[in-house]
Amino acid sequence: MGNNPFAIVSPEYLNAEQANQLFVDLYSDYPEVTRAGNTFITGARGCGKSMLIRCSLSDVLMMREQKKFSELPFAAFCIPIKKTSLNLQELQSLENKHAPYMLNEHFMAIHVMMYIFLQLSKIPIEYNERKYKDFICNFYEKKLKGAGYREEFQIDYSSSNSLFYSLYTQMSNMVDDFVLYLNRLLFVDKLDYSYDLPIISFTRFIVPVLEQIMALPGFPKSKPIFIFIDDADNLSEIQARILNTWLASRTQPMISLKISTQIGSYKTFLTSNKILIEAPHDYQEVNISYLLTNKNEDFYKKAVNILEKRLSIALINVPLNQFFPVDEQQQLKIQEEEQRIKENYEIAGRGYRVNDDVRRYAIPNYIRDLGGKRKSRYTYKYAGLDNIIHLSSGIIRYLLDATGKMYDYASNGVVNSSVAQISPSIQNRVMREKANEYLFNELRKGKGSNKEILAVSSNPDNLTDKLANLINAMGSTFHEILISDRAERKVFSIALSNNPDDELMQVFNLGVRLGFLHESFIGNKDGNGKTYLYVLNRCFAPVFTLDPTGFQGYLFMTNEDLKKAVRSGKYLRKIGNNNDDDDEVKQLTLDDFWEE
Amino acid sequence: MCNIDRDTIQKINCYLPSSYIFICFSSFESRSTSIPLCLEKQRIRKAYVIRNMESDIMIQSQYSFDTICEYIEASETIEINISKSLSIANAIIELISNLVIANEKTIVIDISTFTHEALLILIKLLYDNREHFQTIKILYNGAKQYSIGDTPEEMWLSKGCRDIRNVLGYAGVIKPNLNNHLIILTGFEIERATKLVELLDPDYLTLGEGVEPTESEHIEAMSRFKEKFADWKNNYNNILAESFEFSCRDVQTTITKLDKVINGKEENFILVPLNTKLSTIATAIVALNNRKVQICYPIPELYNVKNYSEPSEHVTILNLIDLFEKNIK
Repeated sequence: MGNNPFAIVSPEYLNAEQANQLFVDLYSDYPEVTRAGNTFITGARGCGKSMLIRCSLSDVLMMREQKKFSELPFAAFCIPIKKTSLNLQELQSLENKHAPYMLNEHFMAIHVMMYIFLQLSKIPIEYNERKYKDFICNFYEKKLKGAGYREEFQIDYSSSNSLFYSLYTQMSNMVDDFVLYLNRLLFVDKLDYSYDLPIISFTRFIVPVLEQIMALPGFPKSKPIFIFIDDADNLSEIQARILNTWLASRTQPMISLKISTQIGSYKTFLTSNKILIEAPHDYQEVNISYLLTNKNEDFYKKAVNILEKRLSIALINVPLNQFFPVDEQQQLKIQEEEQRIKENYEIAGRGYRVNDDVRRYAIPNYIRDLGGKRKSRYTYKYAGLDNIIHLSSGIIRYLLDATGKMYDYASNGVVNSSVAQISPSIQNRVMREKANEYLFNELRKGKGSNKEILAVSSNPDNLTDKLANLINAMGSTFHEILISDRAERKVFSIALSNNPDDELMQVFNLGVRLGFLHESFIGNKDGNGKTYLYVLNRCFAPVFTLDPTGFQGYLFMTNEDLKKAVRSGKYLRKIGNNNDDDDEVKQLTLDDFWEE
Repeated sequence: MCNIDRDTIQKINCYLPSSYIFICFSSFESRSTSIPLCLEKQRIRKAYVIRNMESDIMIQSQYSFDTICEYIEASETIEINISKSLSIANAIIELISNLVIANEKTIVIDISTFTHEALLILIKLLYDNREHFQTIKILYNGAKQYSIGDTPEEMWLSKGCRDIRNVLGYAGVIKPNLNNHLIILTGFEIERATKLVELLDPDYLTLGEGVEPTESEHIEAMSRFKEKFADWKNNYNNILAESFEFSCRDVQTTITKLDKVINGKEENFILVPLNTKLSTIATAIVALNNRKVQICYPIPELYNVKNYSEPSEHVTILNLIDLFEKNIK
C-alpha cells in the first residue's frame, strides 16, 4: 500500500493480514451478514460492501480469531462478479434461441466453483491424502463425468492446496472451452448451436459437491457455508434470474447466498420461472448506505475509527483533529458569529434553545457575510474533520480517496516522508477538486457570461442535460436558501408533493444511478402516506458553497416546479427572505422542513 | 511493410480499385459524407450504408444518410441499434455473409464515423473471412477539429459512461489467479478513462498516449490533454504500471507498441481503444492474436452531437489483407 496511510486497495486484492489490519467493526449492526440465511447486501458504490465481505472470509477470520480453518463458525467464499467476466455480450446470442438458462447457469456454476477452489488452494487445511483421494475418485470425478466432462483428471495430491489448485485449473479450462463455444455462435459460416461440453448446475453440482467437501478432514464440521456474490448487479438479467432461482431453492442453513449489489441496480427479483423472490421469505435485506447516510452520528464515529486506525498503522501518533485542523482564522470568525447569536438570542432568537440557533445560523451567516458575490463566498474553506467526514456523504471510499490525495499533496510525492498534519488549504483544495471532478466527469461545466456552475440548456432533449439542469437548480436554490434570512437555511433535499411523471422519474433515476442523488422516503405533507425524498450528495457542497455539517432540512416541490427547473436549469423556486413574500414562497415555511 | 497511404481526399480514387463494394457508416458527424461524396460512383457496384436507428441519433444523422444515399444510388441500408451489441453484430454478420455468398472479392470501407465497437466487430468478421476477400481497402478521414468552437480547455466529445461491456468477438479469457491489467489508448476523453478505472478496478493500469496525430491541428489539444493525463495519472500511482506512446495514424507501429506491453506477461489484459479508428484497428489485431486480451467498450451517456467534429482534407488508405498477413500468427 506504499507510504500513504489512506491508500485504497481493492478489498479483493488485500491479503488476510492487510485486511485484518484494516478491519474496523463497521458492521456489528448487520448480524444477518454472518448468520445462516440468504441475504441481499445493498449500498451505494464505495460504501464498504466489498470490505465487509473481505473481512468475513475464512483467511481473515482465521487470522483475527487465531483459529484453524476447521474451528471457524462457517466457511465463506467470495465470488466477485466483474463487469465483463460473466456477463459476456456473446451470451445474448443464446437468448430466445438455444437453452439460454441452462448454458448461463453452467457458466455461472463453473465461475462459482472456480473461485471457491482458488480460495481453498490458498487456505491452510489439515490434509488427509487418503480421504481426499477417496472424495475425488469416488465422488467428484463421477459427478463431473456424469455432467459430461470427458477430459483426463490430473490431480496433484501432494497437499490440500495443490489438490484444490488442480480443481481450480480444471474449472478454469472449462471456462476457456465455454468461451470458445460462445465465439463459435457468432462467427462461423453456418450457425451451429450444437453443444458437447459438460453442463453443471447449482442443485445438481455445487450443492452436493460442497456438502461432500465440508465433510473432508480439516473443514469446519456441521457448519454453514456462505457464498458471497459480490457486485451481482453486474450480472445480466438472465443470470440474475438464475441466481434468484438458486436463492429460492432453500439450501440454507447448509449453504447461504450473500448477494451484494448497488442500490437499485440489481436487474430483477424474478426467478427463471418468473416467480418473485421476496423478503423475508426468501432473503433478508441489509442496506448499508441507508444506515450510514441517515444516521450521521454513526457514520461519523465509524469514519473517525477508520481514519484513526489508518494513522496508527502508519505510526502517525497525532490526534485526528490535529492531523486535519480547521482553518483557524475562519474558525475564529465563526466563533464570533456564534457569540453574536448567543448575545442576541433573547431579542432575536428563533429556535427553542440558543444552541439550536447557533447550530443553524452561525456557519450560514459566516458564508453570507463573506461577500456580496458568490465568488467571495467561494473563499469558504472546507477543512477540519467535521467538514471532511460530512462531505463524504456516508461513502467510505470517498473519504479515503480524499484523505489519500491530501496526504499525497502534503508529502509532495516524496515516498517515506513523514506528514504530521494536512494543512487547511490542502484539505480545502482536495475537497473542492474531488467535488468538481465527480460532477464535471458526468455533466458539462458552465461557461460564458452567466457563470452557471453547470452548463444549463433551455428545454434540453436528453436526460443528461435535464439532470444537469436539475442539479444546477438544486445547488443554486440551496445556496440561496443558505444565505437568505429564512428560518431554516441548511437544505440539501427535495421532497415531492405529488407523484413524479415519467420524465422526472427518469431524471431522478439517472441522478441516483450516478450517485448525485440519494433516494429515500418520508411522510407526505398530509400525513397519510409516504413520498419521495431526493438528497443532493453532500460532496457537492463546495461546488455550490453549502454547509454540509449538522442538521439538514428539505424542501417540498411540486411536479410543475420541478419540470420548470428541469427545463430552465435556473432555480427550483424563487426564494425570499421571509416566509410570506408571495404565494409560491409561502410554501417554504418551517413546516416544509423535516429532520432527515 | 503494410500498404498505408495518405493523401488529400480529392485524390482518393487513385488508390481505389476499378470496381468494388462500398461500406460506410452514416452518423451525426458531417465527416460521414466526406469520403462518399468524393468517390467515383460508377466504380461502386453497390453501397451498404450502416445506420443507427435509435430515434434521437437517427434524427441527427438523417442529413448524412440522405446525402450519401442520394449520391450513391445503388445503396442499401443496414439498420442497427448501437446500444445493443448483438444488433450490431447480427447486422454486420449478415452483411459479410451476403458478400461471401455473392462472391464479392473487393470491398472498400470508410471507417471514419463507425463507432469503435462496430468497427471492432467488423474487423473480427473480416478477419474470420479473410481467405475469401482479395482486397479490403480501409479509408479514414480524420477530423480537422474536434469539439468545434471550443478551446482545448472546454473541449468535450462525450459525457459520462453509462456502462462498460466487452466487445463481441473479443471476450478473451479472464483467469481469476492472474492480475487484471487495463490498457487504455487515450484520446480526448479523460472522463471515460476515469470511469473505466473506477468500474473495472484493475490491478495494473497502463496508459497509451497518442502521438503522430492524423492532422497537425490536433497538436495543441493533444499537448493540453497530455498535461491533463499527467495530472490524472497521479490519482492512480498505486496501480500505474507504465505509460507508452502510440501512433494515432500508423497502425503497424501501434501494433508493435501494444505487443511490447503485452508479450511475456501472464496477466489478464483488458484493452480499451479511445483514440482514432486507426489505432482501434491496431487493438483488434493485437486481441485477435492473444486470447488473454479482452477488448471493452465504455458506452457514454451523451455525445457532443452538435459539434463533435469537422472533417479534414486528408484520407488514410490501408490495405487490411496486408495487415492481417503481416500480423496474425
